[in-house]
Amino acid sequence: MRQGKLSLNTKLEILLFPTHFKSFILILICSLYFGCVPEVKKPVSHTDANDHLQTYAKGFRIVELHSIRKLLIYSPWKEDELLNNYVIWPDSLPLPDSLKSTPIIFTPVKRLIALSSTQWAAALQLNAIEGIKGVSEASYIQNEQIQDRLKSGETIEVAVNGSYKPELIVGIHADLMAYSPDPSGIPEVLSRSGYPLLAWPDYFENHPLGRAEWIKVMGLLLQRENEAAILFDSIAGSYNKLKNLTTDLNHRPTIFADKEFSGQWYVPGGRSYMACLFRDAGADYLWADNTSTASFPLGIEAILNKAHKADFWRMAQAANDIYGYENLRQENEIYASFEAFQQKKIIFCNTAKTAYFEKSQFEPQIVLSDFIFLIHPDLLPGYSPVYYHFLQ
Amino acid sequence: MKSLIECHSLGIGYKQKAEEPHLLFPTFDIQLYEGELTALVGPNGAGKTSLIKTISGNLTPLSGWITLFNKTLKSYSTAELATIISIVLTDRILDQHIKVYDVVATGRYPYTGFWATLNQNDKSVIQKSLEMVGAEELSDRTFVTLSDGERQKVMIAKALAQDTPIILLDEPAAFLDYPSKIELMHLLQNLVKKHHKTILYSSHDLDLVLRSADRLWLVASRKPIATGIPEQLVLDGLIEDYFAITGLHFDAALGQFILPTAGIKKICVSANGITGIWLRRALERKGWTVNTNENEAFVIKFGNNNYILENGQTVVHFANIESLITELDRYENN
Amino acid sequence: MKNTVSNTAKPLIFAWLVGLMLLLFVLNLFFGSVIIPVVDVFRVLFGEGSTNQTESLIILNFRLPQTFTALFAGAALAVAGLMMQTLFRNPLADPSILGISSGAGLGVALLLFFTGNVSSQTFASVDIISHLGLNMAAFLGALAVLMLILFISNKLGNAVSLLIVGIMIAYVAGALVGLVKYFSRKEDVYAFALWGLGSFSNVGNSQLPVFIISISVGLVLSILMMKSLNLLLLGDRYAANLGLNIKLSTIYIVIITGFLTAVVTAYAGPIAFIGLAVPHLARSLFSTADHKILLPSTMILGACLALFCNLVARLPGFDGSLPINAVTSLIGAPIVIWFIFKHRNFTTLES
Repeated sequence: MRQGKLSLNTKLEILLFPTHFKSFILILICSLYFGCVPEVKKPVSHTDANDHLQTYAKGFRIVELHSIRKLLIYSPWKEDELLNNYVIWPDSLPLPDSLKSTPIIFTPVKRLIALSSTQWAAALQLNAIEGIKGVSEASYIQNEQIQDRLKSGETIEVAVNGSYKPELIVGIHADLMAYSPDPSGIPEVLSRSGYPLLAWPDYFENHPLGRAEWIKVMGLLLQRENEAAILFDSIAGSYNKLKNLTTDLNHRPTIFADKEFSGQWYVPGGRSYMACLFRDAGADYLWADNTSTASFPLGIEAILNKAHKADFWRMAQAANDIYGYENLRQENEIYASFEAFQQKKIIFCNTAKTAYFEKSQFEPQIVLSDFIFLIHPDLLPGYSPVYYHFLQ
Repeated sequence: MKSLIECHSLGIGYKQKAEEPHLLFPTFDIQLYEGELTALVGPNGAGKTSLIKTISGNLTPLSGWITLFNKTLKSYSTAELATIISIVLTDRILDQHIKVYDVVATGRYPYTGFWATLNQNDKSVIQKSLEMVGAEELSDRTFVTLSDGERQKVMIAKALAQDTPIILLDEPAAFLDYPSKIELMHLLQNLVKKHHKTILYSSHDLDLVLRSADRLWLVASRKPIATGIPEQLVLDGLIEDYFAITGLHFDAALGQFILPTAGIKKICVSANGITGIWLRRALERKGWTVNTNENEAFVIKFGNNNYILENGQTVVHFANIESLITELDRYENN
Repeated sequence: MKNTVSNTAKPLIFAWLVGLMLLLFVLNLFFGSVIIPVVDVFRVLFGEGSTNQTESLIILNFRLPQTFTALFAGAALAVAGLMMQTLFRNPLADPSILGISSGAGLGVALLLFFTGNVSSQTFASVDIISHLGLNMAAFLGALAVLMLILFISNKLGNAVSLLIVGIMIAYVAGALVGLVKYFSRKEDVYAFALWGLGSFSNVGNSQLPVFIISISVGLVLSILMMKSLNLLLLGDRYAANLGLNIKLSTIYIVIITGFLTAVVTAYAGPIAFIGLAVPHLARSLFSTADHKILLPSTMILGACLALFCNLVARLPGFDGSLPINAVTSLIGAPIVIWFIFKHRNFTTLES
């Protein structure tokens, strides 16, 4: 009896400890994952390549060499390492023999599996949604056009809760599958599909316009390069005009972001996309000196020390309509100690209401307007914010 | 004789769902008499532990009832029972840090208040109990460091500290070496005689109970329980009957079971006293049937510190039993 | 071998431990990732004016409730572990043995799953979960398992069966958590992993009285079980013969342990190791199995270990805050091994 008790018990312990250990490893991996994005990527030197004008995005390049166009996708983790190196070849032209053994994407891509939302969102911006044949996590998609296509079966959900449906993937007969890369490599299920795979690390861009610029990749794939370039130029033009409003401001209010969870408070890195938005909106981000491009964890005490008297506090989350200061106080009483809380200066985006994660990537100028309006209301009189509002 | 515990039409056993209750032995009436050392004896697996559990209130009988001091056992609360019956079990105490003193002190818990604070009387009872079993030296030791014999003494001291008229012991001698068994039996006899305890202990060791118990409760699977003083049970042939194992034979003269030897090898021993007894044992161990018929082929005599083996005309002298039986082996093998 | 910890030395060790606990309590107020001069801490604590507002905020609204939480959570888990080890007569038992922590985990996983699914796609869906909801989910999950265990222990009334059933419930809850995780997005799985690391910083000043009172009630009730616990050391049959109602005592012990574990897990997550290790430290230190000594000493030692780990998790000059479960195990395990080596003469058999 005694023996039995012991061994059962020991098994339980053995089973329990790895769980904690695993969690710890998960945190480690996650922090590595977000922590080692190179800050500035030097383009590979194709000296005689006719580079398209590209100013913000670091993760891809479209180059033309001896009239052959190539799409290069850079690894966000290893400098100068390519994740993809595709020849882009129009369907209408005969393929020269010299290219037969190189990886090729034939354009326009007619059947595309877009495993992350920003990919089909880019196609949506170019009014070319017909080519989207596969998406993932359909229950989180707010866009009605995609939802209609899912209902009619024109688009199929090929992954749910992080697990792929390999047979549905193969059944689509796609021309190309775009996926979000991570350091663990390409999932086996995807490589076995036999499709050309295109890594799409747009979320590693640390400039809002860099993220928006990925629309050019979609333009290239769909043979809508001009539309994409015009769209991007107009986005970049508006963004930079707004940015110029704040460059010479003397008064730059302080701002910090996000919340604590289980003792860990992940704050955006000083070189991150969010830090860039704060700067361009004429705010002084409290962790601007930090050199990380991704979020990093801090203890609550360190946040309190630095941000207790900050003027503004930004957070984005899905919430119900009545979510407000009282809810925040109940989550963790310490939040009420911040002056931004007491002064009701929390800049809040309810992602359940605004389709923030689907649309804002290609509307950085609107996100920036929201910030400028909330932080410096006199610069944009009469403006009505879209994504961000003060928490009520 | 006053009986402290009376079992009336008691049925012990187990019940499985939707089946007839399975009785270990037919329902029985039996009494535990005051001031006696009673042994519950029977082969392993006969149901001795179940009977002890039932009498201590730990197991509900399938039928019948038990009275304790003329009141039904059921009418006693657990707390009351704790001051009337104490038990000593084969269960091991697993805790690595518990002290001998603390184990014995638990015997006083039925008498202490909510916080189990020991008063002067409790402490002197604990001290006396330790002395009665001769374990006062052990009081500061950790229980797990004790030998089996010492543990048994300490658990008996616990039962004494509990200060109950009745003590039940389940296989108290099971893990003990021979001298410890004898010592334990002396202790139990002493508790009955000098301290007026009524004790029931179970054992499968026939030799031990025949030498120590005032009264036997003889059990065997599916047989009615027999009771009586040990000597009467032997003479009535009940011991052999209850312990019957194929191939074994109970020698009523010796009071022990022996291997039957078909009587092919007969030998005569004409020696008395201790030497005679041990010589006889050695020969029996080697498979000889020993008698006192001097007409047998082999005759052994003892004289002048020599063992004399006569086989017809041959007479050989041996200095010890070992050389004698070695020689007998040689004869046999030829 | 004679007892090396004499009866006169025990009050002294106890006094030392109380002193150590007070010292650690004060150190937790004085030291944290933000360096605050000792003079300023004194000023804040004794309400003298002209103090830096941020500093007083950090000390009074953050460090003080966190320190109290660590102290009471540590004491509660240690006592819960002691009671489980005694009830099951098993040195490897701890508060999670009844599946109550797993129940709390299941509550949290379900909450993450449902809130995650009703909301839209968010990258930082970690933010969705309000801590109050999390506390409630954990508490309800733990309570559900506790009720189930009580129902079963009432049917069985036998520690060994209860232990096995508890482990089985832990497996079932663990499997359900696995299933829920499988159907959840990785952000929610990540949030669950974070919750699993535990934190003493979730209890604010206004929740603190409820937390402290709940734990104190549990601790007082545990002390009332002292006599039963001592009897249970001998095994069920001896205990019953000595007048103990085994079934009732088992139910009381399960309720008290379950309540303590549920409250701590609801407010601080599943904190590992303290419940397993501290009872062994107390037994070795006092070289006794008497719960009259063990109950108060595990409380103090549990509080000490939790306070020490909380201190290490927020070392001065380190802006982050280490996950408390990593610290409890990394610090606790070597301490226990060291103790066992140092006191091995108490646990080995001698001839």
